[in-house]
Amino acid sequence: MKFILTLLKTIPTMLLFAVTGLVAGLGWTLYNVIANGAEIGISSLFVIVIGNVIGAYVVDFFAEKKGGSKKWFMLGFLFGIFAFIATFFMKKNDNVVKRNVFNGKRFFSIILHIALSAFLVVVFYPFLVGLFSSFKTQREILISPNILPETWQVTNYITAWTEANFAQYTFNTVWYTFFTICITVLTSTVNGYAFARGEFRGKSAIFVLFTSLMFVTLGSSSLYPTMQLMKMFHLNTSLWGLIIKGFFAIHIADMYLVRGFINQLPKELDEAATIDGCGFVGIFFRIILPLLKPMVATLVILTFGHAWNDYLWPMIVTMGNPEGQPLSVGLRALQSSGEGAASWHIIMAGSMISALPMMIMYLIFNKYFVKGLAAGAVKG
Amino acid sequence: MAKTGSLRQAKLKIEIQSYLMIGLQLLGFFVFSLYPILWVFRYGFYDYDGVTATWCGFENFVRAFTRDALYWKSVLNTFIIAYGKLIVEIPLAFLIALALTSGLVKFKRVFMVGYYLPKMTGIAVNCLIFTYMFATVNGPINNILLDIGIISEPIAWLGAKWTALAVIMIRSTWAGFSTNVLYFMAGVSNVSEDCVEAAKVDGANSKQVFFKITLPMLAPVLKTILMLAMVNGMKVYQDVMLLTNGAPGGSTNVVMLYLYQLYFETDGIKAQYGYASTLGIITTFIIGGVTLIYLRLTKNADEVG
Repeated sequence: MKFILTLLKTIPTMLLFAVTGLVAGLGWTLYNVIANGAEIGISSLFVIVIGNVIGAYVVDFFAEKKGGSKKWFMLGFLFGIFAFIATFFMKKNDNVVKRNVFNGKRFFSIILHIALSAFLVVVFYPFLVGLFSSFKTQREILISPNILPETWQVTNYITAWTEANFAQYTFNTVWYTFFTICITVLTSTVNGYAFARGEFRGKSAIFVLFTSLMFVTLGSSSLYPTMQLMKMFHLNTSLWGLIIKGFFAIHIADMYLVRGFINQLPKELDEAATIDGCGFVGIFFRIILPLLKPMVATLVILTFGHAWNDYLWPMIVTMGNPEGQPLSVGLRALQSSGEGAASWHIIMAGSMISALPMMIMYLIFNKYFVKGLAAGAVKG
Repeated sequence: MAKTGSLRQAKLKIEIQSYLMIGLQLLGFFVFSLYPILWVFRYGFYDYDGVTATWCGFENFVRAFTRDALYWKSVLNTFIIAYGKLIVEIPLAFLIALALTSGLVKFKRVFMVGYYLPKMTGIAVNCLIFTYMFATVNGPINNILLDIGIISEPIAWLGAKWTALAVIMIRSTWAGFSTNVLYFMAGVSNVSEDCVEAAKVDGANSKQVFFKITLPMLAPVLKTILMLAMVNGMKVYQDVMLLTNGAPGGSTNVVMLYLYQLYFETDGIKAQYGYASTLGIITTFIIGGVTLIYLRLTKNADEVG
């Protein structure tokens, strides 16, 4: 026992164990995926991880120094051992003992839920850090190791809102988002309609031109010439410039969505409307647009997401114009300003002011978000 | 005769209306999309400081290929970030997608919505939170690592090249893995049940089904994901800009950020529009070249799919 404990104290050795264990564990998982199919393979990975965490705590319980370093190095070591034992265990109940409690979908289902939830916590962790830190005092940010604040300081938010100019930033973001949504939805539905139902010379050529934008971009090199152009039209000094530029932007992904949707609508609708004396534009506003409602909802939500978080262009056009900055830019400015460098509690409060509306919108309307994203994903 | 005339007229009317409907965007295409590209290709051959532009032929290219170590360093960093994160991201996304599509998970939607959240909160906020998390003095991550004893003194995460690159990759994986989960899920659900059933009837075990049917059918999806990750990865710079801005000393610079700095005079780098344009052209060809090589290498995957 003493020998093991001395061994535990020598970190490089333990690191070796950790790496070996990790490799062995992953190798075993891979083997299981191959031998027993994907489901068992994945769930077995999660079995190992959970088993290891429990094991690590058991080891820590017997260790001399509680909560010491050994725990986590041990975790990797146990990874391997547990994997080895579990191989027999899992193999057995996959092929032989069919009525075992541990066999069957129920067990794996539970494991999967636990593992996916654990991962969800990992994904949420940065937001939780941000949220909790936004209620801390400056002193706590600098010295307290706790993740939770000692007292929940709401004054951070008030300071951010009034003194750090977040009221103005929020106002700017709100109207910028609003107009961007209006313009994007209008142009992408109208464009989508023109390409779906319109007949004009060069239609397919223009469509190819527009689509090529998805593939041919120069990244940041095109920013500067575009900026020069905007300067020429005096669009480079505020968010209004970006909004006006929005009229000329091609929202190719949105347009694809709309075009696909309209293509699925029966042409007889148009024909009937034409007989009733409706023109090409009339059909759009009276027949197609009302039918596009679910699509418009998706577009509104997606554009909301983009516009609310838009950073680069707003940053470029509002450089040297602090009053006109949106939240994303203002936040960043606060961080790089001298006084902001030490006031993470205010910055985090500002981050939450910026992120919470978005999160709430997303959680309420996630149906539309996921729908739009999935449609984009399937199209590639 | 009169009828065909009015028909033609109606057609013309539709045509004009269609043109009007896409007119602004067509104009925008030439002005805001095509013109900047042409601009870059033109000034790549000029020495241009914003006031005077002098033709200098291939001098800029010579400079890029022979005297600009910083550029190639940033190209290398771009590759490291774009591919390094895939090592974790692709298997992770694949496993999660398999788990979510296995039919054993009840709250599929809850997980999906949760995993997508980092994508929704925007790059500015995300990078700020990460800067704070990986802060040197009393940063939450340092605290955890100190607490469990993996490190004995705080690490300056964003102050050294490799740790900073790691942070950039972690953030990028955190914010982006969910997209790949979605792609994989779409791919897995496209694998037809009939195929799997037929194979099972023929006596295939789950291992064979997975390797002979599910995986090959996922090949095109994987190809798309890798392709997008590559092309998009080459263009990433906002997060690097927000997290390190290339610091320390340009060692974490990525290609597009380097260009940005040359164009916009940040960090005391003098603006060199001509040279920056040259690098833009070279970068475009690098991205194109990588994509072509990749497409060539994965021809087989297409045939299977």
